[in-house]
Amino acid sequence: MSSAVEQSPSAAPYTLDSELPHQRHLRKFRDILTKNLVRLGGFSIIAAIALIFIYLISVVLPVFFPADTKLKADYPLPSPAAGDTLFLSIEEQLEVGLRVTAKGQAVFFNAANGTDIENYSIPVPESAQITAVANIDSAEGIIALGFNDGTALFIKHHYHIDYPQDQRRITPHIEYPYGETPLKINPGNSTLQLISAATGNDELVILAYSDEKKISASVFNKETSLFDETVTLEHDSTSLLLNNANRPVGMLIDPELRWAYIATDEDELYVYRIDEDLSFFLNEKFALNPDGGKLTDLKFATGGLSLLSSNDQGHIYQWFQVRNKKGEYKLHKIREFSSGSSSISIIEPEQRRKGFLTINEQQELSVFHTTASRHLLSEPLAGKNIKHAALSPRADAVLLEDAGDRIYLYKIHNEHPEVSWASLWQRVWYESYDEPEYIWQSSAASNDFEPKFSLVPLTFGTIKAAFFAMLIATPMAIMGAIFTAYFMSPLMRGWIKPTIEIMEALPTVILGFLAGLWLAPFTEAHLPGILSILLLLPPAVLFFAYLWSRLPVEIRLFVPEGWQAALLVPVTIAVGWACIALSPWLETHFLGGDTRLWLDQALDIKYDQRNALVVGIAMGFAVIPSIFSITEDAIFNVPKHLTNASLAMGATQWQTMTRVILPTASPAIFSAVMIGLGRAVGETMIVLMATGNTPILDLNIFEGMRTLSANIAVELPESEVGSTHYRILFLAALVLFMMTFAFNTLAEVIRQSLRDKYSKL
Amino acid sequence: MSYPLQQTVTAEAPETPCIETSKLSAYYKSKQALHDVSITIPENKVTAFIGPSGCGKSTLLRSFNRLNDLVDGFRLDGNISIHGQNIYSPDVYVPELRSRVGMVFQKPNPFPASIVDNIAYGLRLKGIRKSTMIHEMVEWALRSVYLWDEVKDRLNDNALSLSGGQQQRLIIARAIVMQPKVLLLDEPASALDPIATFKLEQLIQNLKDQYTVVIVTHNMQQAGRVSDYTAFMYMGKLIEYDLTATLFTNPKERLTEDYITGAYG
Repeated sequence: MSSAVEQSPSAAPYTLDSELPHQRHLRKFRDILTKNLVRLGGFSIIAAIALIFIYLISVVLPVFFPADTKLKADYPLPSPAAGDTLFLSIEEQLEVGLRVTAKGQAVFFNAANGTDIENYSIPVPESAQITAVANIDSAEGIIALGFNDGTALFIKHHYHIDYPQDQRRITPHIEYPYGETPLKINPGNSTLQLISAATGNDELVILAYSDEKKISASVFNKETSLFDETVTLEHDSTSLLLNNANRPVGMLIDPELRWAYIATDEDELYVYRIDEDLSFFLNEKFALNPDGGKLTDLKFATGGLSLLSSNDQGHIYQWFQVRNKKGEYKLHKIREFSSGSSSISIIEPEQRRKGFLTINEQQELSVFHTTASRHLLSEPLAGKNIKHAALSPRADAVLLEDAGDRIYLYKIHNEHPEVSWASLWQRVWYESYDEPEYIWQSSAASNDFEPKFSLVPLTFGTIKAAFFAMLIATPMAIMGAIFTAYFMSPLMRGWIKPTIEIMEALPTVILGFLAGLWLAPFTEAHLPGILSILLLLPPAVLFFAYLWSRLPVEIRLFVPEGWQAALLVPVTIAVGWACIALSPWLETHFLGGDTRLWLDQALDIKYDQRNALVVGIAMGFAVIPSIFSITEDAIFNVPKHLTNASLAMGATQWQTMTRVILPTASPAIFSAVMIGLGRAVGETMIVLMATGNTPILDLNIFEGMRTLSANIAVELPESEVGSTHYRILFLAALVLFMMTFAFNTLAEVIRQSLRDKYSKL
Repeated sequence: MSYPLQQTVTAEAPETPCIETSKLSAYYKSKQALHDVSITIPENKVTAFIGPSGCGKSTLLRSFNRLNDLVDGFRLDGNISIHGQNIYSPDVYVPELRSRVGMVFQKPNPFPASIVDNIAYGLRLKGIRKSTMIHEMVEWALRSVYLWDEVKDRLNDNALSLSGGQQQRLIIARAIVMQPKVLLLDEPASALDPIATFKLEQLIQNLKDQYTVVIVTHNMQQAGRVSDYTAFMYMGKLIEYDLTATLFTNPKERLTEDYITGAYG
């Protein structure tokens, strides 16, 4: 070591000038630019999320608006000379109104201003008078007229729409679906005071109340002509239902010809069951208003399943048939509505939804919806003493006639009556169900179907799928990360970590495809094997580790430090193979040869091929990389000086792991789990393809579910833009958004508080 | 270089020997960090290791509590015994060894927990759960490092809220509470200001009554102030080892003299 002392040079090789102004400005400009770009980026993200949120809310919000109504026109009665109105109607486009008069005239008039369009004379038999009118089928426009000679005539008002010169023209017609000759209903020629009818495919059933105080049911067979499709009726039978009856307030037969209801002004309701062969049996008789109150009107809600009865105390009750435990059908009071204390004079059901409107004696119009249990509107009307009300087919207008012979046309804006907090989140008693339930069923083939918009099964399904996925993913990912970060040799870690991380790039549609088309049938066929893998693998690994620790040192040293995990690969494969291979044997010897049958019979557990177990495994597979990667980084990045401190104190590696590393890494591990949970909640493709998409509420791991995200993916393409269904799907998206938002906020709050604790490292 | 590769340095050590190494060579993968180091460190004295960066003094220190074991590719030849026990023999339980050979690092490294929990950490590792025992031990350890009066009112505060000098004394208390035979200090004052350093040096002086202290330092004045013996290391070799007074005033080797006079380093 000669002359180790180095000479320091006396002067620097260059002299640095002080910075020129433009350089200084440039630097400052770049600084400001960068700062503002970063700020802009941050604000854009917040703005984008806020906009998504606002958009979702703006689509969803109209669902919760109440209805409103506005007087569009009022005018004196058109063609007053044609007689008093017996029946009032308005067609779908709100252009043409119809009143059927006591003098047998069908007066079509312009609904907007009351000018006459056309008058039809109905072929009322000579010397006969119209004594009863019944609205038989609103959708078809069929009404029945009963005469004082015991006959009845069916007429149909029909509107033909064409477009001459691209202008809509509506031409009203009166047709006679069962001929122009009145039907003989009462053998005794007595006056028909009240009639009602329902038509099946081959039959027509008429209920009639005559002035002899008899209520009879007449059955006619329909015969359709082969040549011109005209229908002729042939009398089949007439049965007397009630003799010496009180005057009925309402008589109804449901369109399926299964039930007939007769409610009298003495508050009695007679419920008749109609057999296949159209014979009538009294099923029940009870008081509709046992707590007092006088029955004022009785109508079907659309579909003919729900009965609506009103009383003079302002209450409306909804009833439908419910099967009790003995399997007997009994009429059950489902809901109560109230429009105030004034007597309700008219119930007018909507034709296409399960809503209805009422008019009470204080001349208030109220709008309700049965399923949602919603009171949407109460509004005073202009007229006095409303006699007739006709709701348009789309329920967007109501035509009223008052005692002062004036007609009023009210527009009703009531787009989304079906939704309420209760119908979304609480048990709802739907028609034809034995009890209130949470059901999602947004569409069906028939028009008078009751939509079932409960978000509970979907939210439950989302949480169930996420729960089982996390149950499988979290322990595997965290324990794997602990081992990889802390115990594995760097070379092996260099292979393992990128491999697991690349799993994240796997398209979930492929995972879903594999889960639905391969894993689900495989699991079904080898269920005992799959379950025994889940049960046996952890003890097998521990047992192998114990055996390994008992081996002589020379053999153990053969495997380099940190590579012992590789030894588990053959163990895992062997256990997995053995379990699958033994699966049929297990099945024959312990499970009676058919696991699904055994589960069902011995444990009463239903098995669905696409179930939560399959989803849990597939989605767990998708979630593991997120959790693993963040956890591994967090554990690996715990400062060396902390682990050294612990080790130098005499801690074992395991003690250091549990007492120093895991607490220090806990904020990041917690976020990792939350990010995984967020992903599991929002994941769509896997649950869409591997769950069966049955919106059921069942924790059973062997049954499927439908998640919010899969539901949106399945139903949004087929829902009409702007419809209630469409908006509820957006609401589902909002719920999903808020769920992930809540999870992430919670995660961040906890993470921050954990991080404060460990911040000064 | 004109120095012989092999050099046997023996200090006159009338005291009881505590740590003895013989022909110790250490490797990180293929790089050799220590060359045939043989040294005998006396009991209840302060021994300082000095030398330029990378000379192997920290490697030597970390071999005394086998902390190097966890470094990937580390390998050791030769022998280290503490109180006559070969610490690298297979039947040595390493956690027990480490609790007997306490270590303090360059940068204060308290756990992000309360002052009490930091000191109680080692006790709890050993399965001690009795809170009265823990509290008495904590108080004793904190008094031993003259920290008790400063922190007795905030024992449950986070240890990270202490100043750097307090933290370093806390770390020493954390080591002491395990009642080690040996305290290894790896540049304990390098992150501290002069006043904290002064306090620490006083503490080290007092600790030697009960512990064998080995200190690695860059600061030769510090070595001169606190140690009884000083070993000078260079390029993985032990160049000179003697009574501190002798080594600083009358070094036998030219290299030592160059170093302590500040000619390089």
